[in-house]
Amino acid sequence: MKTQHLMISSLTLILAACGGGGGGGGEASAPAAEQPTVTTTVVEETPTIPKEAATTAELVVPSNYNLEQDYDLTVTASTSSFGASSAHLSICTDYTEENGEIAVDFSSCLVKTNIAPDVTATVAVPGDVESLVAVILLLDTPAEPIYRTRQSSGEPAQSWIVE
Amino acid sequence: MKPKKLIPALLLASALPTLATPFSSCPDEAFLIQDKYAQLYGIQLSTGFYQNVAPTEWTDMELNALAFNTHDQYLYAYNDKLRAIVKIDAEYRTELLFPSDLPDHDFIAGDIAVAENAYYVYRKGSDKGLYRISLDPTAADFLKASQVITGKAFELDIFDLSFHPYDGMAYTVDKDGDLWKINVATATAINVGNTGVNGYFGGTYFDINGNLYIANNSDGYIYRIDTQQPTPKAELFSYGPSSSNNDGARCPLAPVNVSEVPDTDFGSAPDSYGTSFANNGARHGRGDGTLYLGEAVNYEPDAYLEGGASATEQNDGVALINNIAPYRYTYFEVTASAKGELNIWGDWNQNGVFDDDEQVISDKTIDAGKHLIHFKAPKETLLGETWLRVRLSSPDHVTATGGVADGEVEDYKVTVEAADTLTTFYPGANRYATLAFEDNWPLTGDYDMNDVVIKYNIKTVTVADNIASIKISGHVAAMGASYHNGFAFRIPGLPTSGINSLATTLTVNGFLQPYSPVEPERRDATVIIAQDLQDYVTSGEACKYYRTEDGCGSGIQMSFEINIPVSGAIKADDIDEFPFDPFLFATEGYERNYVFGEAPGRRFEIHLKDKAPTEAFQQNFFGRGDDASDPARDEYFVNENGMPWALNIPYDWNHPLEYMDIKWAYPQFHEHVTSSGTSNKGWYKKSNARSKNIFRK
Repeated sequence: MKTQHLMISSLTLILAACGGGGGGGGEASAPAAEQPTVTTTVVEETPTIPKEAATTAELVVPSNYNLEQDYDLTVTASTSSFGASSAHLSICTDYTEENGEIAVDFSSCLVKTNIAPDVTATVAVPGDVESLVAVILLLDTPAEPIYRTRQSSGEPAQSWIVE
Repeated sequence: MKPKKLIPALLLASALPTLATPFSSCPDEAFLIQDKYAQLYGIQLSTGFYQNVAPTEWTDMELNALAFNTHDQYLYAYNDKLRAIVKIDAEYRTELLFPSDLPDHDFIAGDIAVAENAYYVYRKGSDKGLYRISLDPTAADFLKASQVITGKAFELDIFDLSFHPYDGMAYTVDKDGDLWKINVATATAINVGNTGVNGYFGGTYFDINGNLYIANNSDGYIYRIDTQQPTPKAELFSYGPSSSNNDGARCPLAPVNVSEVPDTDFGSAPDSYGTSFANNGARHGRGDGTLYLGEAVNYEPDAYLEGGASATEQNDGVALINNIAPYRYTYFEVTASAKGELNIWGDWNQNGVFDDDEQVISDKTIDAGKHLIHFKAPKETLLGETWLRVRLSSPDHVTATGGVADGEVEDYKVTVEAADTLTTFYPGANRYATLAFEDNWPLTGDYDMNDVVIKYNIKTVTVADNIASIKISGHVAAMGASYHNGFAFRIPGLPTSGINSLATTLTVNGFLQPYSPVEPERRDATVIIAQDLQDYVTSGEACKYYRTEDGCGSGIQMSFEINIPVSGAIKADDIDEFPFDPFLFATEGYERNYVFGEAPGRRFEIHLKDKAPTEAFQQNFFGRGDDASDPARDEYFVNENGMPWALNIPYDWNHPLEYMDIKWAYPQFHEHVTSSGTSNKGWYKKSNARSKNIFRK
C-alpha cells in the first residue's frame, strides 16, 4: 500500500530508461541472475543456418506459427462398445502404468462426460502431453474401470475413437 | 465499478459511534493487517491460527503501522491513502483522526508506547523518519506530530516495531536479522545482535515476559526472540499467514499461552452443517497420529469456515471420478493412511444439513492405501452445488457431527449435474494454465513475460450439445510492471444476448461483487475481471513489483471466479476453442507509453497473437510503435518478427524473474518457436527451465 506513489514517480524513470513501462526500470540492462554470454560464430561453410537470436526481441517467428501451445483432439465413444446402457468417460493426461496396472491422476482430466448412448467431445491437449488415458466407468452396475491409452502422434487435428 | 470509489460511503458506514466499545481487556490474541485493501486478522501466536475478523467493508482501507493502545484499549493504524490515523474499536468500527504536522508520506512501521500514550510511526528515507504523535486527548499536543529523528540519521530496513512491556524501549528486527533496541526518548538505537534469521518482518509483537515475536511476510513463519538474553536468537514458533504487506499489533501486557497447541481436525463446510466447535462440529482428535485421509492432516483450534480466512485444509483424501448425478453411481478414489471406518454424507436435498438418511457410505472398513469406491445418490437429489462430508476414524457408528478420537474429516463442495452433461476443462480438471503478458504494447518490452501473469482454469458444462455454463477461475500470479491494466475474457461465438448478464457473477478473494462483470456494449460476451489489477495487488514492502523478484514471494493477493450461465441455445461447437480470448486493457485515466497522446483507457487492448480486438479498441492504434498488425490478414498484436505481447501456456508456469529474458529462463523456447512449434513442445515445463532464472514460490 505504500507503493502506489512510488510507482507513479518511478514511471518517469522507466519511460526515460527503456521507452516503456513494461517491466522496465532504471537498471533494466542488469539481469537479476547470470546470463550466458552469447558468441555468434559465423560458419562460412553453412551460411544458410539462421543466426540464433541473441534475445527474444530478435526472435523471428515463422509466418505459419501462432504460438498456440495445445492442439484439438476429437474424442468419440459409444456405450455399445462396452456392453452397457450407461457409462461415463474421462480423458486425462497424467497416469502411470506399472505391471499392467493403470493409476490415473483425475485432476488432469480434460473432459468428463456421460455416454448415453454415444458422445463426441473436442478437448484441448497441452502440447507437451505425449499420451492420454480414457477411463470408462459403468454407471448402472458397479464394475472395475475400463482403461484405454493413446500415444500422441504429434500431428494437429486428431481424432480418437475410444472403444 | 471500481471498489475504490466506495471508500467515503463505507467509511461513514463503519464510523465509530459516540459510544464506541474499547477492547474489554488486554487481549491475548495478536492482530495483523494484510494486503493492499486491508484485511484484519486475529492471530493466535501459539498456533499460527488466524481468522479474518474485520467486516467486508474493510476491503477498501489501506492500512499499516497497526498498534494496540494499552492506555485506552483501542487498536490504531495509519491509513496511507487518507493520511489519517484510524482508531478501531472492539467491534472493528473505525474513526478517522487527522494528525497535524505529519509529512505527506506512507508509514509502514509503528506502535504505541506503554509508558506514554503516544503513537510512533517510522519510515526510512532522508525526508521521512521516526515521528511521535500524542494520542492523549488531555495533552496540549494531542494529535500533533513531531519528528524524533530523521530517516537519514536512523536508516533501518524495518517493517514494524513493538514496544517492550516494561523497559520502555521499542524493538524491531531488520531484513538482515539484526535486533534493534530503540530509545525513543533519546533518539538512539542499539544493534543488539543478529537473531539468525532474515526476511521482511512486517508483524512484530511482545508478550508480558519480554518475548518478541516476528512474522516473516514471505512465508508467514513466526519466530520468538527472548529479548532478555544477552545474545537473543530467533526460534521458529508457529506458522501464520503470508503476505507482501503485513503489520502486526498486540497488547504487550498479555502472556502468550503456549498450551493451546491444536490437536483437533475440523471440516470446512458452512456452519449450518455442524462444523465449528460451538456448533458441535465434526472433529477428530490426533489419536496416535497414524490415521488420516490422503497424505496428511492439519490440526486447528477451530474450524476455518468457508468464506473466512483462507483455508489451510488438507483436503486430499477423496477424488471424485465422475459427476454426481441423481440415481447414478458416482465413483471416487479414497486414500487412507491406515485401516479405518469410512463414512460419507451428501446434502442431497440442499437444505444446509446432513440428514441421517443422506448418508451414502456407512462404516465401510478400508485398509491403508488407495481404493476405488462408489456410491449412489438418491433419486430425489437436486441439481446444483452442494456439500459432501467424508469421515475416516477407528470408531464406527460415527454421525455427521460431533467429536471422534482419531482420523480426519474432509468437506467437499460438489456439483450435482444432469445425467447428460459433458464437462470440459482447460488445461485439466484441477490444473492451471498461465497467461503471460508484456504490457508495453505497442513497444517491444524486455520479454521477461511477467508484466502481468494470470493463472486460470476454465470449465464448461454442456447439456444436450448446448453450452449451459462457463466458469473461469484463477489468480494474479505476478505483476512485474507499473502500468495500470484491466483484465477481461471475451468468449468469441457466445453473443452477449445469449448469456444471463444479471446472473453472471464475479467473486474476488471470496467476496461476491455487487455488480455484473459483463461489459454491456460488446457483441461477444466479455467479462471484466478487474478494471485495474493494481486495485488488488501491491508489490509490498522492499519489493519493486509483485512476485517477480527473489525474496518477494508474497501470498496471492487477488483470486477470482467468474460464473456465466448461458441461457440461449448456443451450440458448444459455435464457441471459440480454449482459452477463448483473454486480454488486457488500459485502466481509464492512466497514461501509457509515448505513442499515445493521452491516457487511452478502454480503447487500448493487448490480446494473444492473432486474436482480434473488441469493438472498444481504437483501430488506428495498430501500426504504432513496434506493432505490425495487419487486420486485413487477420494478423493482430504482433511485431514485425511475428512475436506477440502475450503467451498462453497450458501449464502452471514459473514465470521468469524480473528483467530476465524468457530465453534465459527457458532455453528451449527459441528453438521451439523457430521450428513452428514442432520441436521442444515441453519447453515451458519446470524441468526444462533454468531454475535460478525463474520465480519460484
